[in-house]
Amino acid sequence: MSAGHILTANLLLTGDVVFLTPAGDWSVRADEARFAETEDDVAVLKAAEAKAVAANIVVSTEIIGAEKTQVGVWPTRNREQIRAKGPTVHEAFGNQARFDLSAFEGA
Amino acid sequence: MYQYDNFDKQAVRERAADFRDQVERRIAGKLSEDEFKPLRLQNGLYLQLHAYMLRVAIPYGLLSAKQMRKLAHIARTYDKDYGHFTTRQNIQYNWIKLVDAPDILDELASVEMHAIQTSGNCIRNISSAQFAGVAADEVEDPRPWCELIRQWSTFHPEFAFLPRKFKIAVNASPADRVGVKLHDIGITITRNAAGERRFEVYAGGGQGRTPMIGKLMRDDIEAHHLLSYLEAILRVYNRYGRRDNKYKARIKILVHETGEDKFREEVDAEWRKIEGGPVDADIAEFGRIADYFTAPAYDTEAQVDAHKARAAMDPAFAAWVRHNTLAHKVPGYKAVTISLKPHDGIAGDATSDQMDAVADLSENFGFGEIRVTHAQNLVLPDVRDADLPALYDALFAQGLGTANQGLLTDMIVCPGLDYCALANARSIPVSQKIAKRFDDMDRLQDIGEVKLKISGCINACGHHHAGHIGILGVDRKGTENYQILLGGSAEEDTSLAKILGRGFDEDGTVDAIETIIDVYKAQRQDGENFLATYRRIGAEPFKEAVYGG
Ligand code: SF4
Repeated sequence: MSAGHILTANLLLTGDVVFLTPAGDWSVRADEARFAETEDDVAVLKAAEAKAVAANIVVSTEIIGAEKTQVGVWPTRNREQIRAKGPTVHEAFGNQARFDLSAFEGA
Repeated sequence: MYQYDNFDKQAVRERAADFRDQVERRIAGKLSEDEFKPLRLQNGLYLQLHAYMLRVAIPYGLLSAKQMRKLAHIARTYDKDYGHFTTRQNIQYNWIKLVDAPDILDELASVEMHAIQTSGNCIRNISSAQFAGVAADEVEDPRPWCELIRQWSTFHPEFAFLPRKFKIAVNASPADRVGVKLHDIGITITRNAAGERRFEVYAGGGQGRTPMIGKLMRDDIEAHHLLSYLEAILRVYNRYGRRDNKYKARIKILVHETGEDKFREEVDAEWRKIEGGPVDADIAEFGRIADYFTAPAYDTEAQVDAHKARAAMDPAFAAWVRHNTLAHKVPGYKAVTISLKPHDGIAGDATSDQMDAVADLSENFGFGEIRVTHAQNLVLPDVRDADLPALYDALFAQGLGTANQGLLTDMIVCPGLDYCALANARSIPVSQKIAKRFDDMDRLQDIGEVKLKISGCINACGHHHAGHIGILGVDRKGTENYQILLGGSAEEDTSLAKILGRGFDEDGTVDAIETIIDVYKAQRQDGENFLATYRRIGAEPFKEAVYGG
């Protein structure tokens, strides 16, 4: 397991929670996020953040702590894990309703 | 209920059209997010954890059946088929798309609704008693006064950018159903010794980071001076309220730091300048407004206690009548509280179908009027005793028949970390675990009246300071933790709950609540409710039981 950072935001038009991918797109799956381990990697996230905000694609951007485990990349903080999945009291809502995120159960 | 005049209608339509233009410019990149954010917030559109959240104003918690159907339609069409009724008597939608927001505001405008005064540092939606106009103990109907204050405050040019948000509540009975002393301004309508109408005005109350009980400014305000006196308070606050520190910007801090007497003097000095001026002249409008709130055509032959035969045979129905109905000023009628606290649900949530059903029931068993309560329930204000059995059956079929109003599981619960971007901890799961632990109606009824209130952070939207039992979610080194508070009340005997001791995790909190209830049951005397026992015996016995000797 290694610690690092990922870039998250909400899509301007829909408000959906998204994560910057290695390809430079935005995914609703946190486990598809581009994982930044070094300062240089974080600088790449910051550059992408500025570009996406300027292009009015996303809002409320934030570089957050994440971990890379055997099952994939996942945010560290409880708050960000809830954002990544959806409300814990409504499994039918949020990103957890779109994909199987059970590998991150209890993460 | 109040009907918009042409000016109101036009103002709301224009506001919706303005917002459509602002959204289009934001999407086209002509407005940056920094420029757009205050505009969307002025229209009730927040960005929360998972999506945009739209907060719709329900002035003093009053809805028509038509408006409720529109709220159901919005939930069904633009959201995930439900809405969340809040402690400010409003409704929130949690999954709104920015691109849909202008259409939703148009839909709302078509039924004389909007999202104005639901955000920002302005005078927020006015709140009032859920039984306004029907409670047997009321000195008069507070709703026309609420409407007068709404008209004075909406778009008030001086008060659009106050140091901080500002909440006003109006009550008109000896029983405080609005938390008068826990508002920036709380108003009680009373009668003096000569039987003349007077307004008691409290200022500087509030919950949140620094909870304070409001101070009585004056108890002798006459009707024709109400608006100028409110204006004087707002002016003093606007002038001296702190703008350098958001945590010290509420009027409660100003009143506290200035001192109650000095603050009152400042207000009086300001009031003398404007008393009898054009603001007061607005009172001429009052008669026109009051005409909208005349009593409906009650059945003068309504049979008193016509539900008793069913109650004698059906203990569940009898319990529902006992807990969820209130004496009405008209014999043969009751005001009915519809619990939005099913033990397997989420406090304050209602599905689109439930909203539609309530709208239908308000017409079938009343005059098409619905109230939203600050405790996140709904009220049908005018139900004939004879109709109670049929109403109960219909509510039960919709999952709305829980007989727990005022009982332990009738919890106030903020959205917490499941939805709210400001939260430190989740509120809903702990409330659900408590409801499950106490999922026995006989046990609940034996425990009796307990007000349990849960907030997911210090902002106290879940009113934890005002709970007989309060629960505050905190973040302890990245882990959710819950502090328990005891002894609060938002009623006429207002008090602020005090922290019992160190916090617990979710399961530990549920265990601690059960222990606290056991102490109460062991110690209570002669029909005392939880709060009365706590006030008599103090915190120590509860501490000892929860934390050990
Ligand atoms: S109390 Fe805190 S967590 Fe709860 S709704 Fe208010 S701001 Fe959000």
